[in-house]
Amino acid sequence: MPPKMSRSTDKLWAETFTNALQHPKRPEGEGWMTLVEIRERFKTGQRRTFVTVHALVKEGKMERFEGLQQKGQILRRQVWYRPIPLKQLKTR
Amino acid sequence: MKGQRFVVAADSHGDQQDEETANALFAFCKDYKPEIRVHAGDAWDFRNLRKGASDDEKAASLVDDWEMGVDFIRRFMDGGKANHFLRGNHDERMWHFAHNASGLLRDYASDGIKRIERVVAQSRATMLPYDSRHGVLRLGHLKVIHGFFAGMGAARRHSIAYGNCIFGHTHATDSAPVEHIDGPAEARGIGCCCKIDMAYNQHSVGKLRHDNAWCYGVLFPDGTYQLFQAKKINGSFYAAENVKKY
Repeated sequence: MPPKMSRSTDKLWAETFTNALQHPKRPEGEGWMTLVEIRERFKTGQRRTFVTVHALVKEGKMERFEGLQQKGQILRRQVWYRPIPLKQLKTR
Repeated sequence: MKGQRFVVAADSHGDQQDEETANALFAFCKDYKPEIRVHAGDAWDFRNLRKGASDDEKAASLVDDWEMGVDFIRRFMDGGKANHFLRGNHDERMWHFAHNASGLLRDYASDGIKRIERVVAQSRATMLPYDSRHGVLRLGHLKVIHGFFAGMGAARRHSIAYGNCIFGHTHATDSAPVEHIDGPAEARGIGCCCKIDMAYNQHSVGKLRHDNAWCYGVLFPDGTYQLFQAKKINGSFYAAENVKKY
């Protein structure tokens, strides 16, 4: 969220706004999917996908990346998810 | 001599401002003490908010742009009794961005609008949008606009549409009087307070018409006015400290 408005936070606002404009659009690496892509791949419903993915994130079995994606002329907030490989889970 | 002194400056473009022009303008205001002060738009550059901005433009920091824009407005308006800020197409980018973006970026742009409104309010200024109908400030018979036409014919088109007016936007000091039954209607380019050589106009021949300048004058009680212009000549500005009636 933008910093609380006051003259003293102007610089912080300008810095964070600049950073937000340069925010990576997509996460680095492979295997990232949006909720819509997960639904399409596993042929699950919207509600079930949402609940399952959020439960897996909570359990630490999936990682989450909050980025930005251009849709038409609009830059939208977009979240990607990726399952954490079993190997990595075992070594934790 | 009865009348209110005014000064109109435009196109300071945040971190792209021309230091010599800005310093000369502030010094002039200290001496001339204009009651009416108008910033006719583009106080900020906001190049990273431009639709279709390149990666380089997006990477530009808003910090310097913001701070220098705020500083210019505060110093320029300080001491004025009737201050006005007309948003230019560059300033308007914050409003467009807030309207078109979504999520976090919209929050930041909406916050930016509030911050601009705060700066303007603290400078005891009114603010007009960048709008061909609603963005027109009337000082007696003189209209002040940011400017809506560009290129060689800009002054003539402004004089046809707005009559007696002064405008920014083109960064030039051209003038075009058109026929009018009450006397010639003249549109005059204010000139700019920003650098004339900028990265975006490196190959543009149009910049050869650009001038660092501002307008000032006296507004009489009946709405008539006397207009002057101070232009940079070899790094200096020459302007009258007093206006006398003969």
